[in-house]
Amino acid sequence: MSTIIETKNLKKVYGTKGVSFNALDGIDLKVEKGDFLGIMGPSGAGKTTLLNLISTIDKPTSGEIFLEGKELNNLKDRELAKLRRNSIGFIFQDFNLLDNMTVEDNIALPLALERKHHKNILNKVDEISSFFGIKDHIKKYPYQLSGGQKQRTAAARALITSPSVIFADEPTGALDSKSSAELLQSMLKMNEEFHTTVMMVTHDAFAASYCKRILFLKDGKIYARLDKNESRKEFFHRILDLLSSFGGGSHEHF
Amino acid sequence: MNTFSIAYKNYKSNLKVYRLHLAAMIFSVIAYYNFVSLKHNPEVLKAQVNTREIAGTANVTQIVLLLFLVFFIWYSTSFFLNQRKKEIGIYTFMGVQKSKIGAIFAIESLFLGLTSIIVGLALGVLLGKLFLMMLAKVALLNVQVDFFVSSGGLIETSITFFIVFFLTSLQGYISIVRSKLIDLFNASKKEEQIPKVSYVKGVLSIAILGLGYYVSIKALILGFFTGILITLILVVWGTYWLFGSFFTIVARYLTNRKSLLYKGTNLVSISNQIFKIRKNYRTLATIAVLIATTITAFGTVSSLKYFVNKNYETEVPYTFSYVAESEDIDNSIKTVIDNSNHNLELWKKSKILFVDKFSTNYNLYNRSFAVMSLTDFKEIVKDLDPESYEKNYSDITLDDSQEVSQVIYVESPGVMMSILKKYDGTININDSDFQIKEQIKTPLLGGGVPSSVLIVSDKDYTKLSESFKEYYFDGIIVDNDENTEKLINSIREAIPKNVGLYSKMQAHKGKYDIFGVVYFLGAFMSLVFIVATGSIIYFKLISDALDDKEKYVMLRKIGMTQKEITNSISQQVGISFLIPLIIGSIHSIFAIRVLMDLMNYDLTIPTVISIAAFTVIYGVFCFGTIRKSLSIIGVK
Repeated sequence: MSTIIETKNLKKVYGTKGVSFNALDGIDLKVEKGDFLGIMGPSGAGKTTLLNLISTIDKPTSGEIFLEGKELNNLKDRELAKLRRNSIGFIFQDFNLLDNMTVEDNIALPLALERKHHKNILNKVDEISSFFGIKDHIKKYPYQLSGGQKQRTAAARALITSPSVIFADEPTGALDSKSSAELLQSMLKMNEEFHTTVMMVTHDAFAASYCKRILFLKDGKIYARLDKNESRKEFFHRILDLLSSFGGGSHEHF
Repeated sequence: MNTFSIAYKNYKSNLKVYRLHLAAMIFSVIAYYNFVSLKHNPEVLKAQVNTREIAGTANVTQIVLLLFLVFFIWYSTSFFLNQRKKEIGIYTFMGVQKSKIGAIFAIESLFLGLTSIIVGLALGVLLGKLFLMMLAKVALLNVQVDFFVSSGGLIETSITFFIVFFLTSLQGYISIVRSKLIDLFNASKKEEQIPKVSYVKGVLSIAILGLGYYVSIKALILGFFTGILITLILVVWGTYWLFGSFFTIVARYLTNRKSLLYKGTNLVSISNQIFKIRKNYRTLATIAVLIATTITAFGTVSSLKYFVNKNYETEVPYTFSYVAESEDIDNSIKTVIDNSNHNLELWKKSKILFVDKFSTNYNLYNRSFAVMSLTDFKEIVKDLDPESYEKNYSDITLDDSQEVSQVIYVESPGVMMSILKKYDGTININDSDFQIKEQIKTPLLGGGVPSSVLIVSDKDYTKLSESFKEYYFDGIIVDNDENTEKLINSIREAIPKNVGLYSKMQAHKGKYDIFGVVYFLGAFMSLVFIVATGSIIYFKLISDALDDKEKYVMLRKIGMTQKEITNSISQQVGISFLIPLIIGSIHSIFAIRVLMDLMNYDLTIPTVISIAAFTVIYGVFCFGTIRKSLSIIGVK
């Protein structure tokens, strides 16, 4: 197994001198290819900041990030855009689908931007929409879909470029438990079948139990790690235990 | 804090946000003040241009201007109120009474109104002299332009705009009091729904426009005013359906052509555009109609201005001309010229007949006209208007071998336009029929023979000269012909009283002043219209950009480069500007075509100039909108 993501002494400071706030305070992290990593922690712990930095959306104050062996600080805007296009897929809490495109066009978007041949794009859309079980809906518009279908459309869009990493920021945040389970199943399947690395920020212990490893952040630092080496159910209970140990934990958002 | 002080605080902190809105209102005040103060300006009153026609034109223009400015202010106010719906929602949520919120916003917008009146009037007074200087220059008025503050204009403008601003504030108040909390909160977060498309309307819109254009071409046959009215209704109707349905059909067709759609940013641009056109179709159609109106208005007035000179040439082609019963006096006139300090440049002679007994199905103003032979006609036009002689008349022939001979009808000098029927005219003189082959305008005899001229073949001329008395026409051009008073006086002494003398000196150029004024008023209105049209589309597209902001954040995350986003936005804004421009220009071309029929002149040049001038100013707005949209969306 090779390392796909690595950070060294990663720091992010918000605000100007005087009123500054350390969102991330020296994070060292290694993610292997094919990993399914969860990031948990209370609000303000720096989960989303970490995700944004690694996924090239934001720039760190100091420290280094290696994605597929490339140091992100050295890349220009064009190269970053290319990296986002080819190597990274995103799934967001509020789906972020384009309302004025059909499901088909939404999924096709990253490949269309790549200027792939339209026949290849359509084949690929067909394949990936079957994988996520939304093939019957591809001519519909987002407003005609349920939340779960929307999020699976977003997942399909994230996966269509066959990225090496998928970043998911609270992907189940706006879904009911049934839709959440369906989406997480698909993500797990995607991780197993295509060996796609997944990095997922979540509050939800149930969602986190699908991960192989979990990182707990607190006040911008890594507070704890958990590895799954048992069934999902037992892992779920271990997560809950850990969360309650740092106070607030799983109940912080009840 | 009471309502008043909250409103004042809001007003102060929002001045920057309101910059554009304020600019729009100040512009309206400046425009209106300058226009109104014209009425009160003593120098303009003195310049004797205040004829009934001009006063009438100015009054109508003032009303149209005011109506338009009211619409414009109302539009811009409601746009900015919409932008602040969420703020209003938060106040309501915090438990502030809606009537109180309404009062806060109404007072705030009154503050804005007062600011724009004060700033607008101050700028208006400063710009007033410039405005008058332009008027004097363009309208060829002989006015001494001094700095002038019109108290009447100040009062009239303040009162008018105070009422306008009061009413718009009141309207804002009412709309806030009536609003529902849920709508206020959701105003910014509404899911875009897919528009329904009516194929029938889409196809019909083309048919309606086609019919409208057809009627405009045939307007002179159908009866001028009916024709124009029908055209107007059909074209406006067709335009709304065109934007409402036809373009959505086109866009939908494009979204189904995946080979085109899946090409880089096309997917983003086209998918967005289909929504914008559908969502904004009323605005876009209104813009297209406004553009058509503006270009047509400007085209009309600049055509008038353009042809004042041409018309003047038809009226005064010579330094002086005379019509005599014999050629006897020619020699004495030559002597007078030789003895003067002028040199002879051109001396044209022609024999003409005056026909006063005829019958015709042709709707002639004149009770009589002059007749001239084709040879003489060519001889004169060759020198007076060599350019069009080469182009149109050098090879012209008149068929006189048939029972009905062909003739050319030359319009009376000085006729600007006529709505006469121009087809199938025949004239019967002495029991022979003449058919009008062509109706033209060209400098020929000038104002010395103030009637239309019929050009007949040489054979027909000889025949007609047996029954009508023949006269000798002489037209003379000398150098230095601005200063001919002495020469003309000596000539008048040298010739008998019964010889009709007509000189450039006596030609009254002043009657063309009205066209200068009309041109100025028209150009002024066009400017107001262009600025307002540009602002309306600007407001609309900026609010679209605000709605789209999140969309582009997402697109950047999935790997759209800055450059691609810039291109896509420029494309979308560009198309929103371009489509109404194209439709509006086509409308105006058909409208000016009608005018061309009326004036019997080729108006291609003024039309092209009008469209080009409009496009340049409009292009500046387009560029500004693109830049603003990009900065809203956050592209560096």
